[in-house]
Amino acid sequence: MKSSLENMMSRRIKAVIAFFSLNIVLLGALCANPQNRFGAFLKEAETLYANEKFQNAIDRYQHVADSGFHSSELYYNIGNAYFKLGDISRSILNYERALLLAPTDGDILFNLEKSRTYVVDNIEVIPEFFIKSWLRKTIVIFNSNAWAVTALMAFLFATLFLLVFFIARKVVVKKVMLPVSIIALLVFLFSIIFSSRTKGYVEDSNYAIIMQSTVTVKSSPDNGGVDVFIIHEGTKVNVLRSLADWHEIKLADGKQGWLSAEEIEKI
Amino acid sequence: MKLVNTIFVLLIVSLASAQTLQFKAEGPRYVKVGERFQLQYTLNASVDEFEPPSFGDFDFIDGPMRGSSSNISIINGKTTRSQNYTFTYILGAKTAGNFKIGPAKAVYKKNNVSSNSVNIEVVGNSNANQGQQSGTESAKQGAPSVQGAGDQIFVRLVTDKKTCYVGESITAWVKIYTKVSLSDIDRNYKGPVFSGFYKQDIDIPPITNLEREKVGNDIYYSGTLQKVVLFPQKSGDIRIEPFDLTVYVQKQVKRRSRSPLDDFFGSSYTTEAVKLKSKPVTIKAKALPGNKPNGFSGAVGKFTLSGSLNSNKVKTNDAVSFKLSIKGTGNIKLVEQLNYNLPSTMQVYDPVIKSNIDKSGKRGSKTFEITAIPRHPGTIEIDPFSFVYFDPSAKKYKTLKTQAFKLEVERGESDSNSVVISNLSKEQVELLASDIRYIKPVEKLSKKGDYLIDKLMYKLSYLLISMLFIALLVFNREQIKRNANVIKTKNKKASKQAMKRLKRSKELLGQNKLDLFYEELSKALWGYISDKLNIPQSSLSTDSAKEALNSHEISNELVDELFNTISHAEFARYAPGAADKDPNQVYDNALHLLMGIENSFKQV
Repeated sequence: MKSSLENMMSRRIKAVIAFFSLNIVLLGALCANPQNRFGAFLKEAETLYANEKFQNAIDRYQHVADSGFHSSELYYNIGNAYFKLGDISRSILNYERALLLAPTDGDILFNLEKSRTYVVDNIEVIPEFFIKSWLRKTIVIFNSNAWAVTALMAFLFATLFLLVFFIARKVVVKKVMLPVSIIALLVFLFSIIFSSRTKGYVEDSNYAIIMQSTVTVKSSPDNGGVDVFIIHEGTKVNVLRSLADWHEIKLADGKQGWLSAEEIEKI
Repeated sequence: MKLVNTIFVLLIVSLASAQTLQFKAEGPRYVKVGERFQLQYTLNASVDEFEPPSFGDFDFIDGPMRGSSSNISIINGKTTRSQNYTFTYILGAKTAGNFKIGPAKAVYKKNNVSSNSVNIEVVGNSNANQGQQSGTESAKQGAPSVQGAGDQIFVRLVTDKKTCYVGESITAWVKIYTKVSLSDIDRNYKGPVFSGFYKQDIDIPPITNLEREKVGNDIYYSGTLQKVVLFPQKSGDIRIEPFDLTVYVQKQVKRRSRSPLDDFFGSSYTTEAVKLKSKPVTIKAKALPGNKPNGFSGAVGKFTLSGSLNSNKVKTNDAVSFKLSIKGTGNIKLVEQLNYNLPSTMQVYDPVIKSNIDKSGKRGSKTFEITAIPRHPGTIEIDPFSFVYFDPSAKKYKTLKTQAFKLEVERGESDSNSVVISNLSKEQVELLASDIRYIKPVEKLSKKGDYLIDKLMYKLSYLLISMLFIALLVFNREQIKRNANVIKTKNKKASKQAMKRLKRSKELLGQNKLDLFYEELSKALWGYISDKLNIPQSSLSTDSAKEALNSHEISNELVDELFNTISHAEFARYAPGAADKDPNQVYDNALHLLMGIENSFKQV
């Protein structure tokens, strides 16, 4: 009997270790690094930028993005190059894209602020509800995939602790394992929620940047509409909805109106 | 002397009264083949021997018809008298081509005078049909009935260029061309949509008279409905979509019955609405070349820059004002940026911008008035202000610079603020000196829209973990059950096993194998305790066994007896000679004890 219990424990441990390693392999496979494929391009782009051949650098970086791969550094670099070329609206567009992927990056924020100084419009931003913005700031510490991994780990530990809780004979062990496994489950739950939220922040973001140097925003989606206000390139707008070739947009200070789809580009 | 004076006076008088003769010939610029038109000669004095020129390639139909008018006006006691004499000819155009009708000649005060010649272009096929009546050049005159719109009437957006740079001005007119008389134009006309352009409307007088204009091989009456100046805001082909316009045409109504009364009253007219649609117009806007210098303002055109400073000597905390003026042609209305670099020791306010654009929409001036306050004494050297624009005709970016400025600042009265301000200016200096941060190496790339939480593999992992969890739990339960079973079984069989062993020991005793007997006896007893109490033999000791037996409420007597027997058996086993008890006795004891303990267990 002694030996069978030992057997059981060692078997369990072995099973868990086996599963752990299987998981790690799976996660590793899920996060395969495509950077190698574009290694040459990226190196070229860096050199071109250093030699002030900004448009050529943009072409390289953009090729990578157009192939379906991106990173916050990629967009940040494109933003820098456009800034050097003097194309403010495109530099802001790319900094915003970079920011979506890395919301707390100081360099992106700094350069974005610098670019914004060239935007003609000075829009008073209505501050967001402070709890909402505090929550958002804490959640974006990790990106969606990081939260997903955390969730999986938490779930694994939760099941482990629960298993021990059920199997263990000593009451002391049982007493400790129950709250610990509950904590692990809570961590899992929150991580899943955060993973979904951070995905939402990127995928559902409906902002755009004005690309045309002067845009007249109208009260209705047709050219006969009353002109409501004029905004300039580089200004960030929130796209509320679309109708044919028109978008209804809202500014940071609450002003709303319609403009033509070709005058903006979505982040 | 008197004679000379008189002649002098007469000369002067005659000179004064001999006004400059105006002898003008007027005719239409364009005529259609087969059309009749009017050629009119106008004089402001009466002449002798008026002689028309040869009409050459034109048919002479009628003339000259003479006319005269005179006008006397007395203003502020001054009398002015003017006279007009006209000779009018009606000619017909025979063949197409560019023709010149030479000057007409006349004799005025014994001098030969002549008019200007007239250039007429005759348009159309040389064997064209109906001659249209053309009295004066106003379309409000009677015209034949409408046959159908299309080539009778059309509306067109005319631009002065089709290719230009982004930001360069294009003048566009909405013109209507017609061969028939129009009674009205739709009042609700909105005009074409100029998306992709910044538009400046130009005031034009409303259409009253249409002018003759040649279009291809044909002549139309045309008028301008709307005039705008457009500045493309993006590069590429920008299409201006067709627009609609409804016009009202006078149509002659033919009556079936021709009573003499009808002839008397003349034909009646009704107005018919005709919907016109223009053709789309594409403007090719070229993107400005990529080598934009720093500080390019977005201005396209030709400009000049001038700048001034209102004072060279001030005291600290006194305001100075820079006045910069940009003048020229182009998209001046959209110009917002002027480059300047005022030292951070001055407090600079946002410029006050004033625009002055003339009626053409593309020419004018813009002044930037920048107020600045120096906070520290000293001599301040101010860099020239610059303005960068793109000249589309030179196809180059041009930078204009003002002169540099020098400002002498004396210490003023209140300088208590200077400490605080200098802190601010320090910060400003740091910011001014910094550029954007440098690029970062791109080390990791992720696939767009690739999220772990969406992946099947990820969700399966959870399933796997859960299943494993359940499996292990179930496995665990089964093990416990099995163990319990084993224990139960062992427990049940405990006495049976013990009996079996005792029997064996009895056999051994019979065979006189004493040490084996004692061994077997020992095994029987220990084995029984181990099975019954579910304590593995390895952790079995006298103390643990005693404890366990006591916890099952087996009487101490029995327990002590049992262990006496056990210890005796062990002693006898290892030191056979020293055994003092009769083995048979020991055997019987053991048997009794076992049964007793078994009964005790059963009673619990």
